[in-house]
Amino acid sequence: MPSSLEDVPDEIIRHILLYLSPEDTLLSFQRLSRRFHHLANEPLLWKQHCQLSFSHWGPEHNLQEKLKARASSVDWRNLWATRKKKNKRIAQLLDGVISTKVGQLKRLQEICTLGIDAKDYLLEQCHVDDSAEDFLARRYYASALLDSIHKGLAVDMWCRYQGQALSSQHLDMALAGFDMFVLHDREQDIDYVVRTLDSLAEEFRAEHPAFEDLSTRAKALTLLRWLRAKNLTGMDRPEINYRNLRNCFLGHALSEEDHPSLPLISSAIFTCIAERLGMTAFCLAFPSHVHAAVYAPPGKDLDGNDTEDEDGERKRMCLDPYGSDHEVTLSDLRLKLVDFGWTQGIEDFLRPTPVPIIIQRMAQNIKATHDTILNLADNPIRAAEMKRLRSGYPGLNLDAAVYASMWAELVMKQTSSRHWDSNLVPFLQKFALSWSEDVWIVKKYLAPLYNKFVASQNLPRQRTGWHNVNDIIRMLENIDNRLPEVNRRYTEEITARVHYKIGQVFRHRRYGYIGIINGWAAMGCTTLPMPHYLDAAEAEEEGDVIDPTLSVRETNMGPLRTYYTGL
Amino acid sequence: MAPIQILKLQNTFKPGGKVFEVERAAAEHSGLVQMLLQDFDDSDLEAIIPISVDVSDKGLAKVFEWMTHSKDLPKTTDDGSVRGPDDSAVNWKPLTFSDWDKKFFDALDSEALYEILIAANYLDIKPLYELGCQFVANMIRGKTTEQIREILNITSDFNPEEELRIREQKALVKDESETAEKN
Repeated sequence: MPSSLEDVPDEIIRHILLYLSPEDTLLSFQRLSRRFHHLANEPLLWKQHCQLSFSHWGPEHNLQEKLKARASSVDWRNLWATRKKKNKRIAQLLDGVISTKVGQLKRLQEICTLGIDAKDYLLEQCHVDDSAEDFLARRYYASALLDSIHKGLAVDMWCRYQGQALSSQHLDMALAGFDMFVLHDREQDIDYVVRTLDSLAEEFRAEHPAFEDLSTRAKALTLLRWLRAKNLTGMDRPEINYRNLRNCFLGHALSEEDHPSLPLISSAIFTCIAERLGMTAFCLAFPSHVHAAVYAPPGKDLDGNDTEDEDGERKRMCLDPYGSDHEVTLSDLRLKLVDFGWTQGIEDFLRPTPVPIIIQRMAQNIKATHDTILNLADNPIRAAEMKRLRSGYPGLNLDAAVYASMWAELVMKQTSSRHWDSNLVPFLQKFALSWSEDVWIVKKYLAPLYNKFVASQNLPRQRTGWHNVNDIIRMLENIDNRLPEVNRRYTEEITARVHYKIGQVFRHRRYGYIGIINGWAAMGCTTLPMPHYLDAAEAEEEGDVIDPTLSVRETNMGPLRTYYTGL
Repeated sequence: MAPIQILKLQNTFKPGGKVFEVERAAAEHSGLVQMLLQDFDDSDLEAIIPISVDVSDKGLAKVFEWMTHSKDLPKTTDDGSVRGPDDSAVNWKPLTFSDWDKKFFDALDSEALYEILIAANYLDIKPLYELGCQFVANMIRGKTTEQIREILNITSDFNPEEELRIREQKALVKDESETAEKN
């Protein structure tokens, strides 16, 4: 008769352990006796705990392979402990980030370099409940960190096109890089885009069993019409929606119900799925409207007839997945170019465009979207609608999208190009003033490109300040290490003159913008690093806006900018 | 002939086991019984169904008490409407006890509790088995090794050297889990 847990068979003990927390198992259960120690350390149990405790794993873990391998061939217990230790370190660092601005950037960088392994903990902190005193700061920094890690993944992928100026590989992933800048706590990342395109291709194949027997032209038109019938390309009411921010993101286009997208994204959806179906397809960076092109396989023309031609007109066709169910003839496109006033180099527009150029074209689209939305300033409701994405603050998302386009232009352009640095100054200003937590990305990816570019110049010129990536990194790190001076208010009189408290929300009397008092500095706020801002309307949505009777010190902050630093 | 509504079950592990009469709807919680019902005609089922598991009639009576009370709950089949932790690692959550279940388990002495685990495992009564395992895990949660040894009546067979080594390991882990709790 069983009078002790010792009399219960191993099988049942193993099952009980599945209900016990990993901490309880390690702290007390494994110390009960030799038998329980053994059962508490079985690889299968720890494989389970690893899967339950952590859902995001960096690629360095090769998790999928580990999961397929025999449980006993992987040290799951140690892996669990390693991840747990990382979380502990992240928790310490985040506490530090919140408690002091000194060394904040250094701490933020250390967390970001942990990469995807940091995601689980940060996601949890993004949604931390409001019982903690510092929950707003926690949410704020956790989401800034999460964003920074996502941006790092995008830049890492974009940088692989350096030295590959003519690459036509992985257009889907390169475009999904933009999604990473506005991903926040959502799932629609690069992997999601790749998976979704994979499954669309599978779905199409299943619905068209005789697809392989069709000629290239018939294949292209069948796919085009299938995509358009499923509303996967194009958009509704382009006269209003064309410059809506969401149309710029492949991940958004694939996941949203009505799949709105710009011609570039529509063409990319077509070509990426066509490639998965074994066709040869490219995007064409046609002026004002990106098209898709499909090529017949060697030895055949578009209609499946034998041909000696390698590159004739019978070998390639153009489509407009955004706007039309029909083939667009090359002569139509040539006529359009003449209409635009183009007479030279027409054929270049009808050739496949490499991925780096498409990405830079996307960056220009984002800038055009930004300008259009800024011009809607007199219609704030419309403007807010135009920049709302599935997650995050509209104003910040627009800013993040523009920032993404600046990154894309820099890292997608080959450093061998003479004007590689033409956008460097505005980029560095944007980065240093608004997104300084990304300094680890700048150090890891941009600084090497910059150094390579400078070294390749025949007539090197003196580069300082905003023209020098390394200077800016140094500047940020200097500010980060700076201990704030303590200025005491020695007299009653001085104290009586101070009307504001740290944390107070105010509306500027002259400029009308909403601000938060985040600290006192002798020079006003001019010397402070200035992270993200929201616009006034959004700050108001956040609640608690008061209108003090006195204006604060006039500064060089422009209107409509609220600087959130030490929340 | 109307289908048999009462099943007679007897534990033949030791001679002289009691014959239990269990409503069919209740007995169907057991995967083992489900299998028997599929394989045999009703005429075969009028006879006593032998089962063989190393638990006392007292323990078995508790198992049938739970089954009878829970007879209207959905039954698990092999595809499993009740999910245990080994089914889907990613979506697994701790089980919650109904008031009745809580009273039922709280009233058990440790002998009956272990017998229920063994019998539920043998008879393949998934919901009862999962609840039982969760209940034992709840008894262990947050306790020190010494407390657990007392509650579950376990004697240590470590030699002093091993004991020391594990204690050192514990010191390392403890630090970690305290941080985990704080957050």
